[in-house]
Amino acid sequence: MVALAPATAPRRAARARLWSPDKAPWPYLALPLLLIAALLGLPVLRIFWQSVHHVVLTAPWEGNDFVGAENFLALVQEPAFLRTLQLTVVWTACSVGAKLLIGLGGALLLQRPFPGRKVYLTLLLLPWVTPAVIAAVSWRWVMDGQSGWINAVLLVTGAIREPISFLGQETTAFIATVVVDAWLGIPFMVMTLMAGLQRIPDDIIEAARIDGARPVQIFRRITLPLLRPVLMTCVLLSTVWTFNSFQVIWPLTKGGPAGATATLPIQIYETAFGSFDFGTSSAMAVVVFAILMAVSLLYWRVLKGGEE
Amino acid sequence: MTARRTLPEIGRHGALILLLGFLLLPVWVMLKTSFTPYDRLYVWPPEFLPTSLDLGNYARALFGQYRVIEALGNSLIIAGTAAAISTGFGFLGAYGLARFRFTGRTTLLFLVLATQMLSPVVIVIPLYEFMIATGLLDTYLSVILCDTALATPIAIWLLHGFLLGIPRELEEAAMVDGCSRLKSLWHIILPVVRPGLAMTAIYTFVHAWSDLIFPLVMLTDDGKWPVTLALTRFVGENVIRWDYLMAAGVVTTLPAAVLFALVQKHFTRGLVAGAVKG
Repeated sequence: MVALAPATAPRRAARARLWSPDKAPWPYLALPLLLIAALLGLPVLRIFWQSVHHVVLTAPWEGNDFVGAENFLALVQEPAFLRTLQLTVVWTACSVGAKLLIGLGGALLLQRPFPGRKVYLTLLLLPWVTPAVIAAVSWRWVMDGQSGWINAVLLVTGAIREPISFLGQETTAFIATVVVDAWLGIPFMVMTLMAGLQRIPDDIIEAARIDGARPVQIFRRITLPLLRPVLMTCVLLSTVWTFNSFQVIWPLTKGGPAGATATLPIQIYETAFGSFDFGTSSAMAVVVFAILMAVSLLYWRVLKGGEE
Repeated sequence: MTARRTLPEIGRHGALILLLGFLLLPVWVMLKTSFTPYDRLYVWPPEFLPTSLDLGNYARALFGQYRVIEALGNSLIIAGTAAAISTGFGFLGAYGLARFRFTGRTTLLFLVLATQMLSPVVIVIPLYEFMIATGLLDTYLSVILCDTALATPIAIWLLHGFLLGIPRELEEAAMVDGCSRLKSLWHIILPVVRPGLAMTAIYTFVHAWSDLIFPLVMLTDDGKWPVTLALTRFVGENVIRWDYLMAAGVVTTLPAAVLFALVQKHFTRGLVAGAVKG
């Protein structure tokens, strides 16, 4: 602060007011904001700085020269990176789509009271309270290529003769990681969408029914438009979380086989802590920022557009 | 009940049972396997129901050479400290944002929410360098700081919502009576917001408890590993000890599940109603 300036009376009074716990928010905000600035704000700036510099942690003798857009150009020219990008988008879309469809279905089935609803709701929460790593490990055992339960059931019922190595083949591994990620995210979808559905006044739906509207019409013309803000927010949050997902894929496949499940977060981790190329991994991180920012802006525009 | 009403009901239960079957499958398999001795894991025909309630896997996973009990202790230290700091800081921040009008307030709220876009995998890169620079690498504190950094904005956001739900009149009445803001904060707000604090603490605790990426990057000394990381010990060169792994998984999930059940109770109690009643 301005400790060297001669503290005139009004200035001292202003400063006292600024830090008065009765009048100003700063005595309360200072510590938390300092923590967030130091441990999140500075790191983000650091990522942007590193993305335009040459930084390989294990090769300090190469120096940390400013390289401009070189890191980004290298990424764009790399077919593997573009494949990763495409893979991440498709993977996210599949997982969010599955969560949304199943979540909306579950919310519609559970929104009104009926006998046994409480039991369903309680059991439904189980995936939510299971740590992602534990869920991934447990699913890995369920989908085990030799004696996993899925193989056991398929073999016993005679659907297959030879066990399938679900996590060992590219297509099945991709589907498997989507399934596990969707599994973790469904309870959140059901709960929030159900809360959104319950906010829609009953009399609107009742009035439509009396006017002779069919259930499908009511859903499309009344429920869905009114649910839109909640729905959009759910989809945005879910998209961000899914896009950033690391804790599901890493324990399941570590990105394999042959990179079939190596989404951007996996690739960033590999580049940063496998080859210690912090410059390139920071450039990838900036790409992630840009994509998520674009998704958020799109969300904002669609949401605002819907309100007009 | 007529057939017209019964049929959709059957459909509803059918669909829900199908959904729950999918959601409970890995949980059931984890429980079943945790009670199954290793030599019975690969029997044919496969067993889908537990044949015994043998707790041997639990005993050997927790106290045997794999030392899961020690890892649970590490998780408790890390998640407990992170939850305490982020809830305390979160309350301070939330109070400042909820009870004062000042320029930049909405921007700050937006920034708090925007941190949710940060992926731990991304932010861990500069944080790793930070821990090297400060000599904190491979200490509990390094993981605690990382978890706290990501949890504090969430805590601010959650508690901000809680504080907005508490009528201002409560404190204003006290302040008119000559109570200072800090005093009314302590004597009036804090008791009312306690369920919110508990919920936030639990939420941040479960987050840190479940975290993998920060310990994976920060901790090389496996004596400090939290349980999420310690599970990798069961994955050997050629063999995976599913029996121990699943027992350890149940033990790791249980605290999170129980804590979450506690939060549920606070939700249903009706916060605002309780706040006005006192």
